[in-house]
Amino acid sequence: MTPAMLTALLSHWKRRPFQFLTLIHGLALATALWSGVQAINAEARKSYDEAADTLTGGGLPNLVARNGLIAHETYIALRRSGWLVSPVVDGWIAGERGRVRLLGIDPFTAPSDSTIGTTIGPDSIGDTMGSEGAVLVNPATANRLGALNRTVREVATLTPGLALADLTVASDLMDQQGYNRLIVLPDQPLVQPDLEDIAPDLRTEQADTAEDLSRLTDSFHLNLTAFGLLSFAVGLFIVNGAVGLAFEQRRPVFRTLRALGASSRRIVALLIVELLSFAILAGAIGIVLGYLIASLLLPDVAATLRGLYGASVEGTLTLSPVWWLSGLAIATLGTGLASLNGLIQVARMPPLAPAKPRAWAMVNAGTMRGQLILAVVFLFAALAALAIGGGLVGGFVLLGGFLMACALALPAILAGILLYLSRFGRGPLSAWFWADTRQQLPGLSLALMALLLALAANIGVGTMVSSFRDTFTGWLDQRLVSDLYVSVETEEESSLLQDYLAERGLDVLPIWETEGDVRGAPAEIYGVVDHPVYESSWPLLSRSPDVWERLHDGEGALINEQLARREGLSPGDELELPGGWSTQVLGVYSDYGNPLGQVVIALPLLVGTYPDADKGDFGVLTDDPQRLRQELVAELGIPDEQMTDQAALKAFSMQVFERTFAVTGALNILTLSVAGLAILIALLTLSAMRLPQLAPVWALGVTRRKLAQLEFVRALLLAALTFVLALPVGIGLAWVLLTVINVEAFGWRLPMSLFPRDWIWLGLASLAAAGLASLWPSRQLAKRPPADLIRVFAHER
Amino acid sequence: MRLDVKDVVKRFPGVEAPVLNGISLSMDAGEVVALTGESGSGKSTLLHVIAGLEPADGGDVTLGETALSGMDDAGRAAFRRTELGIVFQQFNLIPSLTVGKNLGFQAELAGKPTGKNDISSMAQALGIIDQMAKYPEELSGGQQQRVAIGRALMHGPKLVLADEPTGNLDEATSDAVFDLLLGETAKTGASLLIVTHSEKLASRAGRRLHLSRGQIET
Repeated sequence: MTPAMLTALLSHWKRRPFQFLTLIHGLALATALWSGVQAINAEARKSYDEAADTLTGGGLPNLVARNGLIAHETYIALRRSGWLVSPVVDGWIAGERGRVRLLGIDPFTAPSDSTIGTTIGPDSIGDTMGSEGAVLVNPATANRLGALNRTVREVATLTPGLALADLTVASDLMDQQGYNRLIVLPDQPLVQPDLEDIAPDLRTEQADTAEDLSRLTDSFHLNLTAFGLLSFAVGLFIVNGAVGLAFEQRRPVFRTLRALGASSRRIVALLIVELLSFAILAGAIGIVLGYLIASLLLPDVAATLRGLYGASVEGTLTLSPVWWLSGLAIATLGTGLASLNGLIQVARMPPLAPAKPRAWAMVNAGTMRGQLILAVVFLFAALAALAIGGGLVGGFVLLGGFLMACALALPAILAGILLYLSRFGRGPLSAWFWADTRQQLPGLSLALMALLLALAANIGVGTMVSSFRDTFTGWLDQRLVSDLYVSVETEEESSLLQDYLAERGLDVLPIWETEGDVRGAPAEIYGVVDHPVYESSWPLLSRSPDVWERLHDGEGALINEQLARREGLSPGDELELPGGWSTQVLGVYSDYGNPLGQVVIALPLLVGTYPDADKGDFGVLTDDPQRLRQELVAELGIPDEQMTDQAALKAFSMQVFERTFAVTGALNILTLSVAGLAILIALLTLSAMRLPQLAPVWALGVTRRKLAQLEFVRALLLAALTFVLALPVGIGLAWVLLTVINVEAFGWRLPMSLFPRDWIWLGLASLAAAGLASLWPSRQLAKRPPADLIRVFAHER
Repeated sequence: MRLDVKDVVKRFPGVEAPVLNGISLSMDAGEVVALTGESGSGKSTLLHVIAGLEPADGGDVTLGETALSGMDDAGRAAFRRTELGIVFQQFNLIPSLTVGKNLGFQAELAGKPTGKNDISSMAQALGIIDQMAKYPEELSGGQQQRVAIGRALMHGPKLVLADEPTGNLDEATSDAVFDLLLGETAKTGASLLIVTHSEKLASRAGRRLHLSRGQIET
């Protein structure tokens, strides 16, 4: 019995291969977008873990200085007193294509079972150790590093973005005396003196680099995941439509099967088997597509993560079985969700249910009111999330609730608009057109809801990115005050440069900084000289009276918006800074693109409080940066690659900016394409079931050509109405992104700007998509043989 | 195989008077009975109750030794599958299967798969041998009903129930299809209960029963 029933059920798809492709396509796309994003996230997290493992010596605790570096003598003292520690030099070196993290270690004392120990194993210890030892890097990182005045050896297993070298080599390359930290080895003697007695200026720090990095990048990955989910939801609309239609079309088959002696339980079981097979097939295709999407997007994501967070994700995609299985699971779950209603209906269907399928347009008519109630529920959930807050997750609840409410309310709102527009109809054909369009709404509603979501996402994210671009460009213009930026490596070069520029009468703005923990999180501390250019150019969001005078007098500090929002600081508050001192917050400035907290104090205060601060960077105010650059190369011997002019820096910043949003842009386009496909599928499937509705109108004297034209106009009308309704939804989405999600995720708030010209293009694109989608079914209708239409009256269909 | 319908009562929600009000009838093996009556008299409902498509609210239906009362949905489904052949007014063929597949479909469901030769013989007898590879929508109404008759008989049912089998056909086609139904059913030895509005067709049955206001008039 089972094979016969399966044959009957599956023959439906054999007779309707397009519908089968639709189902598989929708599900595969939904799975692809979801699993592609998951693959990127998994790859990034893997890199963070590997980096953390390498940087911390396998998660072991570290000894760090309370201020500055650890002297070699302190290390020796600890070793002699029985403390088993391994020294590490940790910093950054400039490569040809960006900075590379350099880790200098002592191969003899480094923990043997950590990534460091296994990378420099017994085989390679010979050519790594000593002052002439090789620098080990991952092949991708070697490419970024470029030519280095050292032997570079490629090690495929090494973490991307990281260079590993002997302690002496790393110290040389960074021109550093002393160690950044000491790894505390796991096997310590039972008895050893207290750390306080041997090295009172050191403290123990637990390994938490991975946590730091993932905390910083969590918001970025959450954004990606949210987009993946949105795309998945849009894909599910297609699946739901295709499955719902297939169930409805097969109602007579289910009835006949019941009448011929098949139990409903067995029919449902076979339908589940059928859907499960489809889910596995589409899921597998989706996973392959997801892999392709991930590998296409990964370079942009890696650039974003490197540009924004200094996190290195350069590895090729390595896909775990968990990823494959989760892709299949999400495909199965999605199919289950999309099919649940249909399966319940089949299980409850009496053997004598109406034999003819109800008009597809009427299938969901009864559910419109239910959808509206659900929309109100989602809206209340969104408003509750807005009222309560709840961080980034609360922000996404607000976002999801708002979008779902709008999507669910769409059919009812469209029905209302169509009812209103029908009043303006003149003549019987017009009356029929409006009535028929309203009747088509339930059948098209899923596709239109998908279109609304995709358009709103496009408008919202587009508004956010464009607002961000506008603000960022203006901010860059203000913030990058120097015309030429110069880096030098030694104090001697620094003195030479300052003297040279002073002789030429040029203004120099040192960019000296140190890093440290501010209120438990890593932060940058900069020093600024007393120069009027800061007052005229720095974008302050809030300020105390006489902010600049007091800053230069050393009476307080400026902090960036991120730090102010995170710690709830405002002008007048006290802020504790590394080194055990505190000062008053004088003002808050915007600092887009920086994940870290930042503090600006007077330069003399920085130099006095933090003598080990990095003093190698300078900004110079000059009318002719190119000429000065050439002179500095010729006369002081400063390599050209250690200088950047303002224009190049701006271009680089904008490049980082554009790459940051390249991923969201790509996902945006994919989501919109999926929605366009949903419309095409809905129109095609509807057109196959429209004959009983069209035949009477044709019989009454309306030509097939005229009917086809009306079908085309109907598709354009519905797409246009959906677009108009998507505008306020998209602007609402942009508002949530800019004022809630961005503040929670990145710590800064952006002013919202509107870009109506972009909307016009998007509107035209959606009309074109709907027009193209309806072209084929309309053409089919225009060319339909009259015999097909006559058959409707013969009751032979 | 003998069919006994005893004191069958069937009510529908919202309708005060029962549609079937204590119906009793018997049919001997191989007997052909026509059931006539006004529209809404309960003819189709009685057929559905006998087929187990709808449970009776009272009374019992017994085919041979098998009683329908007390059977659950799965039991009634198995009963239809193996013991009955049903011919509907709307044909109810599987639209996505070819004529050949439709013919052998119930036999396969009943676990009595038929060979190609059996199907061809049946198609030959029904006059649709040239239509075997076509789909139902490509056939005329008369041809579709021939397929439905073939499907109902291929597995050798004990009882064939036909609900207005010619209701959708013109007079000439109707006569031809009715002839086939009588002839082919007779070959299997099954009993045949036909619901019809047509006096002409009813007169060709061995016995006629008239249903009125939920009761059989003699």
